[in-house]
Amino acid sequence: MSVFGGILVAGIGAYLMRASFILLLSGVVFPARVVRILDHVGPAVMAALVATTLTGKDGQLEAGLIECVTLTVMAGVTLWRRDLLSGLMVALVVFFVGNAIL
Amino acid sequence: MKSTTSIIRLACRDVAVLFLPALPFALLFGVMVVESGVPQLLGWSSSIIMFGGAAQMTLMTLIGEGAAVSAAVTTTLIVTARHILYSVTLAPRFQGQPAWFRWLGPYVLIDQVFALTQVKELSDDADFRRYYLAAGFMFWGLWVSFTGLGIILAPIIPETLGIDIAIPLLFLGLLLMAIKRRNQVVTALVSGGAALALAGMDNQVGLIIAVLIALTVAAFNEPRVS
Repeated sequence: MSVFGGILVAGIGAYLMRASFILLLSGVVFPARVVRILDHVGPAVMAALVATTLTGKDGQLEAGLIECVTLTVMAGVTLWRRDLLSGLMVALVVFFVGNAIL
Repeated sequence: MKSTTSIIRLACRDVAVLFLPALPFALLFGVMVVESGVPQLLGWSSSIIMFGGAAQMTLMTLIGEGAAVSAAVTTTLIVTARHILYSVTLAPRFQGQPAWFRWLGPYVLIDQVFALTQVKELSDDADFRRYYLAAGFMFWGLWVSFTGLGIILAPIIPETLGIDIAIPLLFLGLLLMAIKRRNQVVTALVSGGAALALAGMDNQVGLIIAVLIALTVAAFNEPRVS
């Protein structure tokens, strides 16, 4: 398989995964309970993404003290202001200042 | 129903926040393409054809390391598999939409766009569609542009930009904004804990298993509706 063929197959595969259930279930009526369970996918995926992006290739946790403090600040400011940008900006300032001091 | 201008303005603001942490990775992807030895235009075309940061990086890294293209594609598809969960979750939301949107929308259904759909309260179908398309294709345009810029600037971009923390910060913020019910906190804790425990598994398979474990717990936690 050529590199272009590989990119094409990966692209078509990615599209089919993203489109599969949206297209296949377009005429299906979802029971209320199933919809409520599907509401959990977002928090579950995002929590797993947070955990995965904090670990190295061998699965070891790569977050040190500064990273933990930064994450705590992000959580605190986001919950307080209900605004992602404020949380991100304050947390990044804490991260850079923390790295400069320690 | 909101005006198109206000929806686009809202999408612009949200995408700007979400793209900020992804920007260094877009530039680093350009460096990866150059280092992999893949022709630059071909490598850049993956941003248009695949549009998925983690998948593109996996494919270029493996090809650069000399793996067979078929093996690299298989691994890339495993990394992309979590998008099936996004498709299931958004299926009810896409039901009231026109057919053209059901075919076009999934093309831009990446982590960040999915997260936005979980955070934003857009009950009107037309509002949801305009917001989704504006946010999705704005993110797409920025990703395609900055990965191209990364290829051009590859010789002067350092191998690490030292802000890897930005991505977990973003997903943590989105997670907190997405939680609307108390039992979703339990789901998030189970999923995060399981993902940490399974983080050593290859190709982010642990992430998918962690989400499935958390959803099983959620099914028990969710009260039966009479």
